[in-house]
Amino acid sequence: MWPRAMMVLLTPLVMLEPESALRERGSGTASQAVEFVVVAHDDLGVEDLSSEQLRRIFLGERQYWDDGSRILTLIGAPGTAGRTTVLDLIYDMTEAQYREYWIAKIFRTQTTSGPRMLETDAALLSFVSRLPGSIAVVPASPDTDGARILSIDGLKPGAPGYPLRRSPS
Amino acid sequence: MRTAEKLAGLEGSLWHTDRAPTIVIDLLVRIGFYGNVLYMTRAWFVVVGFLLVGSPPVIAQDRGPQTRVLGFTDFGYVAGDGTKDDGFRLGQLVAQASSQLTPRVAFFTELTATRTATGIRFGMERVIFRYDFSDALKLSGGKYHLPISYWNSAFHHGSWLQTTAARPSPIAFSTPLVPVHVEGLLAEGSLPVSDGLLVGYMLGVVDGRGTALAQKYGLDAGPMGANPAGGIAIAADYHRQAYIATVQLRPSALRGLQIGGALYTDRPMNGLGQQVDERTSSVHFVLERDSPEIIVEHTWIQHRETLGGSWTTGTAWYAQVGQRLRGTLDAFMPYARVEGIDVADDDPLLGGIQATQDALVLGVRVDFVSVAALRVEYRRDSMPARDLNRLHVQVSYVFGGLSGG
Repeated sequence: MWPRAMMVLLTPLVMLEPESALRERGSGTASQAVEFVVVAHDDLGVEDLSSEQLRRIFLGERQYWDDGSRILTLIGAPGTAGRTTVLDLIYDMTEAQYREYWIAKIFRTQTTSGPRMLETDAALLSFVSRLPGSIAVVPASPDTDGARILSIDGLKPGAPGYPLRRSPS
Repeated sequence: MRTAEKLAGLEGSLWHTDRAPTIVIDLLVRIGFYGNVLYMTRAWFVVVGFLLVGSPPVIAQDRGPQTRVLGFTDFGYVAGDGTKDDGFRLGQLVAQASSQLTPRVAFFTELTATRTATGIRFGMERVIFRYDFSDALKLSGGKYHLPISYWNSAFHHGSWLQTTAARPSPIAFSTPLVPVHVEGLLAEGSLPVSDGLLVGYMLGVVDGRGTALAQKYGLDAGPMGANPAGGIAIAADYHRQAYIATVQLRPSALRGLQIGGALYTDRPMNGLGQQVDERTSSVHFVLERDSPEIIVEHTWIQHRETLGGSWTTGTAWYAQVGQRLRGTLDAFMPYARVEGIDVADDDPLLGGIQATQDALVLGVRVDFVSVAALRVEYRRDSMPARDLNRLHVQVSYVFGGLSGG
């Protein structure tokens, strides 16, 4: 019974496709799409993150920077462009799935909290510039208020293939 | 100002530190009203200690200590043939508090209230102090859910988190197959082996089962080792250290995939007063998602008399699959599970106290709101003596949590 049950239950796996670190939703050229940037506190000794590193940070699987300081992940309130992008491209989750994910993670004592939420993208940027160890995703803007913009997979915003790019909705 | 308040804690309906003590005290006053005085005395020590460690000015790098409280409960109706407990069933009321005392020090506790035939029983399910050296090394001490099983760690008393109404029988709360709670020390962590693979581990030394099974199924372990079965005398404080080691692989190529295994060794006493070497190992394959959800676990439970004898091996396993429907039916998630337990009659620890059985579970979960789920679940148990059918209708809730965070 056991091998037969395994075969039946694992059959759906063949329908699953491997996924890239960041969900590929972006389309169009850099001039057409809306870009988002990963911002971190300027004291952070990091210039670049891989897509997978970024995903693990937002999933709470990585909680400390290489210098030993704690990562403080910030996210916008529901409805903000930054939050929509983070849930869509990094988490690949709906609001309900995101909520359940963090409840489960706290219940399993893997963390004591999820990302801190701020009301606006501007507030995210402001706090990242003031809080050591913090990181957030905000719409690209000429004024980053003293926060450091990190490249992703070695790509800076505007570069071809930059992953945090979405078609205007 | 609002933004600063938000930054100080999680948003939404989570209970913030300033409210948590009031709520916890209120909860315990209610518990004390109904509960056992001795137990409450212990509970008050814990809560007072909890509040003391939660309130000193050990400031996290940007904010003070924060405490979150999550709650779970369920209520349902069970009907079946041959069951003595047909009728309405009030599940456990579970309150879990998590507190980040400093950037590296965290405290977790979990209290339960369970309705029994004679009243309400209170339990301290988990109490964990943890210090994080890094992502790769976190040391903790306290009382845990034994990570011998994925299910036991992932869902345990958080019934809303699991898709089904009831736990698999191999990891049921009342099972003698494996301990579900342990006290001890754990080292754990996760290491990114490559950009595409995260490896997690746990290593622990814990108090073993000792005479728990002997007392439940045979011996009356008094101070002088009274033994009606005529075996060797035992002391009431008999126990031996047990050890647990786990490993989990999380490849990023398939989101939600976790493959892992665990090994638990112990030397408990059986109902005849004999020490038994115990070696329990398990493997799991889990897809933590809902399109589809797949959970498969297989456990091998080996025993032999410490003074001599050969190993006997029992097995326990289950495999569960669920699939959330699409479009306008996305609140519905049908699921199925098959379970099996096979223990030899001559198993020196479990023989005679754990029946061999198979089970089939079919059900549907309906997430009618974001904080509650309805399950309608049919279960058929096939045992050597007879088969049992049961229908379980249950609503489970989560309170606290991240409302939109």
